[in-house]
Amino acid sequence: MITEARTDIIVRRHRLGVWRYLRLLGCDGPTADDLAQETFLALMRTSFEDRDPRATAAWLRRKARFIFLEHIRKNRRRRETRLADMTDAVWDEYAGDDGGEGYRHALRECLALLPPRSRQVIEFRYGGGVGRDEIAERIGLKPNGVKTLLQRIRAKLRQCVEGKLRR
Amino acid sequence: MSSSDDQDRERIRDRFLEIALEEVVKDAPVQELAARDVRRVPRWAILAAAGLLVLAVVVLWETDDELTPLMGGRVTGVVLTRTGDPVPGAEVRIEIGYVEHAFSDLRHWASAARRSAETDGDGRFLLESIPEAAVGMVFVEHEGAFARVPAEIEMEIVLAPAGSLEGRLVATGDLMSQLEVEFRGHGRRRGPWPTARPDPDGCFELHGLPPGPGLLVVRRGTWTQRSVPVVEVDGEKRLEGPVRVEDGIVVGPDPLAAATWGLLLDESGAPMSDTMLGFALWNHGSRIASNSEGGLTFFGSPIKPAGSRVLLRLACISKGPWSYSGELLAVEDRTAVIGLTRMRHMRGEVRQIGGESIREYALLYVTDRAPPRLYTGHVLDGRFTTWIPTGRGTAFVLTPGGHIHRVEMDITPSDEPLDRLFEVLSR
Repeated sequence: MITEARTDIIVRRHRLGVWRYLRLLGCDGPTADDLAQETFLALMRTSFEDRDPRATAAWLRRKARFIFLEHIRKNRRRRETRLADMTDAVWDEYAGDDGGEGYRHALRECLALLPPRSRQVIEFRYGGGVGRDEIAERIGLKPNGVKTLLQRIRAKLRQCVEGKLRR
Repeated sequence: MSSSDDQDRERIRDRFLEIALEEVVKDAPVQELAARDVRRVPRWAILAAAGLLVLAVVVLWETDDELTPLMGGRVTGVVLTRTGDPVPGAEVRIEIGYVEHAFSDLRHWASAARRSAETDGDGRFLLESIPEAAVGMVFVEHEGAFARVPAEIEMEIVLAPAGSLEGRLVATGDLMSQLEVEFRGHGRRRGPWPTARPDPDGCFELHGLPPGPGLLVVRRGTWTQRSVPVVEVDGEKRLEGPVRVEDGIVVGPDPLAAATWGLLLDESGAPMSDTMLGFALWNHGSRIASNSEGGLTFFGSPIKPAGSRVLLRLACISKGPWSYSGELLAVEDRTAVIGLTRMRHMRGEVRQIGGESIREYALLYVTDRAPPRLYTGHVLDGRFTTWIPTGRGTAFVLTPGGHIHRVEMDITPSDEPLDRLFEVLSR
């Protein structure tokens, strides 16, 4: 059993990573909050050995995955199990080593390279939660045009970020 | 891989991006990000890096035999019974070795690791976070059924059936009706060990036993009345005659004392008498000696109640001219089976592997009973020397140039050095 002080350090260090992982598995914000809390409670209940942050992050991810799948089983959603496997693969690809920090760093750099209008659309959509119709009105496009533009920007950002991560 | 899988994977990648976008854009407006100085890598540097990457990949993929290193960071597969039925809930463990940097000193970059997973309802498993170009063995255990196979990226593993043991207890009075027998094998295990109750004549059968020798523990309630070794000959487990159990003589555990009773066995399952053992228990270490029958008594932390889980880290010990190696193991209910592995001095000759002149090497050695071990060293005038565990195992030789060679071995214990083991590698 790890000490309370140690648990506190672990929670502070890994809270965001676990929460992001649960979001990626498909949880909405409040569910990810609940399941992340369950994950850390499980940590406190076991005879876990905190050897190094990477191993701890991997342990927490496994536990979070288990808790998420239990949550899914209760709702009889079998498809999510297959998606969870794929999510793990994507997680390993993008965030396996650092909980997603490197990805986000690369994303910031890629966002800085976008043309002004694309940056503006991204800020409306993801910064202000502005709907597609309203964005269309603000930048003078049809709603379907905004949808296509967002898809193109996301594809460009993904290509840029993945290129940086491979380096 | 179906197109539906591809679409789902793309959706997950998009979702990852969108979650990251929400966080990043809320943290700092995009317009601010645009104003920051973004370091650009010169085009020549990108081309040079790409060239080096291609070179490294080519070197890592090249092998001098049919052994394929694991690529892609994962191992998947299905576990089946001999009749072809999937086995859900089986424990799948991979023990691997890898060289992290093809052009660095192997002593600093070669590593061994272990990963584990459980099969799902369809008997399928997924082992993740496998380092690139790793090699190793996969072990599967389920209710005593066992398999040990070289690791591949996609596997179909068929389990060998579990072992069983028949025996008889001899007890006086009504003691027999209160007794229970339990088989304990070496090392760690998830879940309880197999147990059985004897019939009125004292006969019992235990099924679902893991491979290898072990210990038969005869219990009365939470008290251990007697512990005797179980040997394995040609895959069949045997007891040396009937087990006599007498009322009133308790060998442990005593619920009031924080002591553990153990039995020290060598790799053949024979008790090791008068052997000094070094161990670490939580934050202190000590040395103890086994008695003439291989039995041990050692005292743990007095604050740990009897029956709780205790981890012992055994140090290397020596007896006569041989070295032994133990492992971290869990001791539950205060009765331990401590299996030790004798080490044998090995001298080898290596000139070239796959056209590469060898000056240093990493040797991953995987056995059925101990964690993977990685040995590194230098080759002088084509010769090298190392210590290696006895018994059946698989050696993977990894070279700085990324060549890999696998050799199946069964090393008998001896104080004579083993010669010319890697002659096969000379080209």
